[in-house]
This record gives sequence, C-alpha cells and structure tokens, in this order.
Amino acid sequence: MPSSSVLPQKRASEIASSAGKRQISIKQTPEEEARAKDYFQSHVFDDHFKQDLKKQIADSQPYRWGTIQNLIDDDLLRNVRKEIISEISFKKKETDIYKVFQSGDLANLSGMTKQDLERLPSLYKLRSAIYSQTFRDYVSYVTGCGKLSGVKTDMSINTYSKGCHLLTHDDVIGSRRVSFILYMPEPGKTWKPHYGGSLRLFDSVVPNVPRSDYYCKLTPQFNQIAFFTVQPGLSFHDVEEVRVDKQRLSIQGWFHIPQAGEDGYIPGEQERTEAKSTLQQLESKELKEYDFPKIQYNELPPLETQELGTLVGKESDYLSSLDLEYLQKYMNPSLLTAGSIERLNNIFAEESVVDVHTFLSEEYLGDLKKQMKQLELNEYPEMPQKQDQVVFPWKLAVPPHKQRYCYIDGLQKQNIDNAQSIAQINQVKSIELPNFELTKNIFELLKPEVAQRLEEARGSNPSLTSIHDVSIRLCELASFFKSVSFKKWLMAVTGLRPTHDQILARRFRPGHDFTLASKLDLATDDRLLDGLLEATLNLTPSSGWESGEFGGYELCMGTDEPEAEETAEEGLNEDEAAIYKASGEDSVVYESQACWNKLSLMYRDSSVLKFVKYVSFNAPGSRWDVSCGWLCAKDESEESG
Amino acid sequence: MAPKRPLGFGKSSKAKKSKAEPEPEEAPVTNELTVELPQEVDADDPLRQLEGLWLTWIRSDKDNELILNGIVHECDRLLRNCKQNGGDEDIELTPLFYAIYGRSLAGLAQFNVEDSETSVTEYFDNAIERIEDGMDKFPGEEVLLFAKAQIIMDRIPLEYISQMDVESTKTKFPDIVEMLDEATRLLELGTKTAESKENYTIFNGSTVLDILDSLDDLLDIVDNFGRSYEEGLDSDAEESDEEEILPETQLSSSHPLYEIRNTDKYNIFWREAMKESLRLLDKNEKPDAAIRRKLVKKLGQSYLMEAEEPISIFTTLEYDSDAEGQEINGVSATAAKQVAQKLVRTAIEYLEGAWDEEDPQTWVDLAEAEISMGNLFEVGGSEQEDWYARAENKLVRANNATHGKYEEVLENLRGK
Repeated sequence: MPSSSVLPQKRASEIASSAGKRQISIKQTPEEEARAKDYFQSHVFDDHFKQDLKKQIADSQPYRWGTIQNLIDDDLLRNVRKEIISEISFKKKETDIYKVFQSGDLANLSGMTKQDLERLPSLYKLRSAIYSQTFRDYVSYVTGCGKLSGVKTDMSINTYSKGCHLLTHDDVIGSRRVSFILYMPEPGKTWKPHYGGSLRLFDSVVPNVPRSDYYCKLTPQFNQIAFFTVQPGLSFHDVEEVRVDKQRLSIQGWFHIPQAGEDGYIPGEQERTEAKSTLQQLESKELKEYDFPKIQYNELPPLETQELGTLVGKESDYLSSLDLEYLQKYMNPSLLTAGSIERLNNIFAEESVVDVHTFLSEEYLGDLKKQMKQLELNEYPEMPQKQDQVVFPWKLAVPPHKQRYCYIDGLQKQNIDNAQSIAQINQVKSIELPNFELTKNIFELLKPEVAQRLEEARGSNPSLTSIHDVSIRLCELASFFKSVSFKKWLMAVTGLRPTHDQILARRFRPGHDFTLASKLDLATDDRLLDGLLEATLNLTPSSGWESGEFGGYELCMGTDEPEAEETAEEGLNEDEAAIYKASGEDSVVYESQACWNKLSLMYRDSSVLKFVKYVSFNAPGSRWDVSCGWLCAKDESEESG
Repeated sequence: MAPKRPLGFGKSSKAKKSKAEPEPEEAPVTNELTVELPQEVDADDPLRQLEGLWLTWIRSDKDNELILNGIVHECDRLLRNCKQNGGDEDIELTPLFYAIYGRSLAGLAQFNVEDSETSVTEYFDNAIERIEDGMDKFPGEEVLLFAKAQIIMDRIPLEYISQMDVESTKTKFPDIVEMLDEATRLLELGTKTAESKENYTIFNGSTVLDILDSLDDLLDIVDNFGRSYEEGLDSDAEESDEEEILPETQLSSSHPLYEIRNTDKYNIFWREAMKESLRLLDKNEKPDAAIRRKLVKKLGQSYLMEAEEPISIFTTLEYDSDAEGQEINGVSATAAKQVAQKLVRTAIEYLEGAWDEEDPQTWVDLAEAEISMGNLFEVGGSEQEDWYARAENKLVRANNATHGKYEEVLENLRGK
C-alpha cells in the first residue's frame, strides 16, 4: 500500500524558504581549485568544442539547453559511482509528481561532513570539480547565463529504477540559475531509449503553459551532463518513467546566482530573482484559461432544481416507482432498498465518504468488462500517445504540469492547440452545456467509417476493436449520472441536494496520465455549501492494481494549514531530496486503487487535496472512471445539523 | 427523519479513513487485516475456517506475517482443544490440518531471518515435527508428503544456502544432497499416492506447482551461486559494450552445492515431474486454466533453454567463417540444427498451450520461440521467412496491446 509514503508535493514557497534556511556554503581551497580541471576530460576545454557547444546551446529548442558527453575523468566518475553504490542507501519517495529513490543519509551534497569526506573521497572531488571556478565560468560562458555562485552548492543523488518518474515542472525556485544532471547509469553499457528515463523538454503554448507532448528528449549515457538555464515559465521538463529493471543513477543540482562577496554579486539580484520566481508561480496559478477541461459546474435546469427541492426534509419516498424502474436498469437493485440507503447514509454522514462496491448491476454491465479488456488488447487505431491522436469526442486534459488524461465531457469540439484558438474559446465563443446523449450519437455516427477501416486492418489481427462501443457505454453512464432519478438517490444517501454538476468520463493511459494534487477552487456563493460532493465510478477492467505499484490510485489528503494557498502543481523542485521531510504521513484521508465497478462517494471541503497517481507504463491497462462533481445547496438542515 | 448530512473531509474533527460499505452481493475486496474467507467456507466449522484462512494466505502476496501468525495460533488452539487431545471442542483433526500447521510454521521462518540463526532452524524443525506427527497419525497421505517436500525445498536456500559462500565446505553444513533427494522422493511418492487414490484435484491447485517452482528456483540459485549481478535480469541482458560476461564460479568438490550443480539429475527430475503434474491435472473434469498455462509455459521455456547449446553450436559452425566445416564437441552443424529444431518445436507446442488471449506476454513468449526456430533455417529462405512472419504477427499485436513495449524486439526482427 502506498498510503504512508505517498504525499503530494510540498508547496514551492515552503521549499524555497527552508532551502534558504539550511543553505550551506563551501569555499574551495586554492589547491582544490587548481586540481579541478584535471577532474574533467580534456576535450571539454578544447576551444573548438567549447565554441561549438556555445553555438549549439544558442540554437537549441525549445529553450536554451546543452549537453556534454564524457565530461568527467572516467576513472573518477566510476569511483564516484562505486562509492555511491557501496556507501549510500536509497529510500523510495513517492508523491503525486514523482516516484524516485533518494539518497537517505546524504540528502544534499552541500552538507557533506568530514566523515562523509572520508568515505566518499571521489564524490567530494566531483563536487569540487562541478563547483570550481573553471567549470562555473565554462557553464556561464556556453549558456550566457551570467555569473554563478561557487559557495552556494546544491546537489543531490537520485536513482530511478523501474517505475520511477518525475512529471513536468520548470525548476523555478529561489536563486537557481542553471539546472544540471550528471548521469551515471551502468558504465560501459549503452542506455537505450526504450529503457525510458530520458530527460524530456517541453515547449510552451504561452509562458507558464507547457505543451502536452514533449519537444525533444535526451537519452542519458554514463558520464553525460545535461544543463539548462532556469527560465521562469519556460524551462519545463520531466523525467520519463524508467520502463525496465535498470538503475538510472544521477547527480543533479543547480548553480545559483552569486552570493555576497562573490565575483558577479549584484546587490538585490537574489531578491529580484526570488520575487520573479514567486510572481511566476502566481501567474501560473492565474492561467486557468489554459486548463482543459475547465472546472465548470453547470446549474441544473430550474425544473430539476425545483423537483429536488421538494424532497428536502422528507423522511423517505425519495424515489417514485418510475425512478426505481429507471435506476434498476443501471444499479445493483440491492442499493435501492430503504435499508441499504439508510446504511449508506449512516456511513456517509459519519465519514463523509463511502465506497459502494458492485454499484452497477450485472445485467447492465453485461460483457462490458470483457469488451473493455478486448479494447485495451486490440485497440484500433492504437491507444493515442500524442495530443493530436486523441480524437473528438475524446479530448486531452492539459497542461501537463497539472494533468494529463483523456476525457469525454459532452461538450463541443475545441481546438486547444495554440494560444489563439484557446483565446477564441475563452473570449469569443460560448461553452455550451454538456449533452452526453448527443455525444453518444456522435460516436454512433462515427462507427460506420471506423468499421470500414477496421475491416481493412483486421487482416493482420481479426480481434482489432475500436473505442467507439466502449465510449458509447461511458456516455450512457454519464447520462445516467445526470439523471434526476440518480440525483434523488444521491440526495437520499448523502443528505445533500445537488444544484450544479460536472460529469467526465476519463481514461488514464499507461505511461502518460495523472492529475496532480489540487484543492477545490470554488467560487463563494452564499446559497451553496463550501465543499463539493463527488463520485468516482471506477471502471478499470484489468486486475493487478491492488499494490499501488502501477499508480492509477485516487488519493485524498487533508492539509492542516487552511490558510496556505499554493497548490501542489506550482513549481517542482528536485532538491526535495535535500530538504523534503515527509511530515504528517497520517494525513491521507482516503485512498482507492483502480478497480472494477466501485462507486466512491465523498464530500470534500477546500482543505482536502486530491489526485490520481501517474499510471505506470507497465500497468496492466488504463484506469477508466466516470468522475462526477456536484455543488450542493445550503438547505436548512445544514444550519441545524 | 431526513437523511443525515456529512461535515466533509477536513471539517470533521478527525478525518477518518473510509469504511467500505459491506458489499450487497459479494464479499468486498479489502486490504485491511480483516481477512475475508473464501465464499465456500462454512463459518461454523473451525477447521474449514482454518483451511479458508490458509487459502487466503496462499493466494496473497505472502508478505503479511500477521496472517501466518494468526494461522499458527489457530492451529495451536485447535490442537489443544480438540477431543483427540482431551479438549472440549468437537473437532476431528485432519491430514490437511497438520500440513497447514507445518507449512505455516515454516513460512514464519522467512520473517525471522534477521534474528539468530537458531530461530530459523527452530521454525523449520518445528514445522517438520508437526508434519511427522501428522504422518504418524495419517500414514500415506499425499497432502503431508507434499507439505514436507515443500518445507525442505524452502529450508535449503533459506536456512543453509544463505549462509554459504564459495569457500564453504560440506563439513559445516548438513548434507544438502540428501535433503534434496528426500524432498524429490517425497514429491514423487506424493504424486503416485494421489494418482492411486484418483485425487486429481490436488493437481488442479497450486500445491504441487509451488513445490516444483521452489525446486526450479533452488536449482537456479545453485547454478548461479557465487555470481553477482549489478543490474536486473529482466530486460535485455545481451548487449554489453564491454562484454563483461560473468563467468560461472567454480565450486570445489568439497562445497556443499558441488554435486547438485554438477549433475543433470535434478533438472531431469523437475521436467518429468512437471509433465506428470500436467498429465494428472488434465484428468480433472475442468483443469484449472491458469495452473495449466503456468505448467506448459515453464515446460516450454525449459526446452528453449535446452536448445540454447545446440543453437549456439549451429550458429557458430554455420556463420563463423573460422569454424566452417568443423565440429564442436563432436557435433556437426547439421546435427546441432536437427537437435535444436526438435527442442524448439517441442517448446513451441508447449508455449502454444500457454497462450492467453488476455496476456500479451504469452504471445511474445511464443513469438520468441518462433524467432529461434526461424534462426535455424536458411537465411532468407521461405521457411525462415515463414517463422519470422508468424512471430512478427504476434509481436505487432502484443506491441499494440502494450502501447509499444515490444517496439525494440519488433525492430530487431524486422531488421534481420
């Protein structure tokens, strides 16, 4: 069970300030400085090489970055690797944004003690080489980033083994000027692209909004360094999940802006940089118009609201015979009895959450599970891997520093490929109301065309299946959740009266999808309750998710500081290796593994973070669900109860 | 009274973990320590409950010591309270009871390896003692013969091999060969006994397969003893830029594992026992598909492994210009090819039986065997192309099903 170790990422501002507090300075001795150059391979300092590198960086896309192969003296780096393997223990850390093994007993290499020096002499040499005047000047020259601090060092050791990953972020925190990663997979062997673990760089739609597909990727080799200037709102990157049973060991860190007393120190620059970084975080938060799907709870039609309003305060008889007849087509009939409803209500009132197993009836499900399994194994066209492969009425959730998954929202087609078309959506057009019946019809209309292509493709694999039939069933279920009858059942079970709703059918694809932890972002309305009533119908047909190893679980956790405003997605820092201390591990309030036919109902207030963990490339399939959210009326019993 | 309303997560004074609503029709899946008994278990019969609990353990990841402890405590209690021992509970102890007792005690050993060595020894000694008690009361019961075989198979690596290094000598350890011979004898006897009683059901579960898996693992451990691996073995181990092929560590004839490593006897026994299990499994009216697939997959893989040597001889003689027209170990290219083809063909037959429409890995296993077969025919010839095409078809499908997991294998095949 991942619960105890899974925590959303710590807020950026806390990280920045704690990093400041525990800053440790080093000063190289003249002897160390003199020796530093010998720790590098000589070709690095060749003038042609240096000029070529500078040009490559100047011409690089999607933002300024560079890489050097065979950077460090080979023997030295092999020794560093041996020291790390024999002397340093690693501990798995898992949050919404990463899974990685971090060096537990030597969190930040800036804090190496004398004892560390004795057991890690090569690592110490490496650190002095990286932060030597010679190399800092070199990096400064080839990147054109300005002077770099030699006293503020910031490095840590991580290893990414099978399943480890780090999702999209821009590294912007505090006084960081250049990010670097020195790779140390097994020496003498080629790290191949299909192992995963690549560094992937993302272009941006507009500053602070990365594109969903990566622009380019670097497959790391032993003794290769990659680096880039930290650019607020632009330097988005991730670490692709490691897909095989191999260790992608690396040392990564930052060069900071010069500190007082150092060459290149500019009074006030650090403060300005930090302010800029904070501003960037705030701007990023404000850029909601680039988020898709929009979090938009639509008001129920007046007649429906009125109908539900008549039930408030009633003891029973929520469901008419017509309601029951309708609900029985979908739901397990035993959930519709007065006794069941009362039991569910008791649990829900006590816990604010209830898991309803076997929610849909066997009759309704029929062979849906088999159908979905067949689809996953024989999908045609193949499972979308890029944004433009996600075909309407399916859509892709963006931007990737917040979320990525496929969804059906019952709304019109929207072009979210560029800033201009997004501006049109936000400023010119109206977003109409969702209609899943119509969306279902669209899937039906699309079937004949797909059927023809399927027929042609079936020569090689007669089992090929398109997503349309499954999509139709998902639309049907979305319509069911929008039905008045279901809302009546919901009222009876939760005691809450929905007034606004949003329903999404979602698919979290292996190797791609997740949502980062976020708090509710609801507008204040005196007529409505502060929290959100949510339901997730888990419809994952594959098995093997129970351990949480493949991600795909939904997790909620309470935060103790309601005044803290920042959400988890704002800026990631990789040096959590250095300063992240898992605190409040018991604050996980709810956790649900991907599974088949379970409805999780919960009432969540704004202090609770929620996320769906990244689904591993090696997961047994996609996580599928129907996700519902309802704003609810402040009816009288709220005040009294 | 109107329905009650919740306070909401975070607002409630103590946020509590969700409580699963008891499932209306089926038992809920739970990770809590409340262990769900399989549906068929009679809740009023303590022995049946114990068996249910044991089944739950067997089907689990086997990483929760508390469940095992619970089983051992329940066994202690039943033994104390049964009428046979003067207790007042109406319980008739069965051979299965002693098997469960012994095996759960042995299972506890793995959780106590950090403690003193005696602790592991004690667990195993106690486990064997319980089984032998059972054997005294119920002679000739296959379930006890199998249980003892399993315990010995587990004991050898956990208690003894873990304490060995390449310098170890027989004098410091009990006779491992004797122990292994005893385990294989018990397995063989158990199989014969079960067949004579027409107890085919026991082959329809994991009891016998687990023993055979343990034997397979044990033989693997012995083969690889003394080697160290820096990386995992599940991905492509073939490409090493520096060609660091790890040599097999030679063991002296005084090493406790020397005999086991230097004989084919146990590998042959393993394969024959696997085939026998398969034969008896098939006597069930409804052979368990998952167990059957596991058996035939392993059998198929064992033939592929056996084919490695003749394949290597054939490819060296056929494609290495220095070795052309010669023999290796007295075997010509043609002879090696014939032997290899026969073995690979057998492997393919088994792997076809392991095919699972819902598990792309089984398609890939078969495709890999087909590629091996293709490699044994003339380069570019129609037979080779035919085998490659069969493999490619399966790999394309598997690659699609796993969104690109076999891209590399597929590219290699297409690049041939």
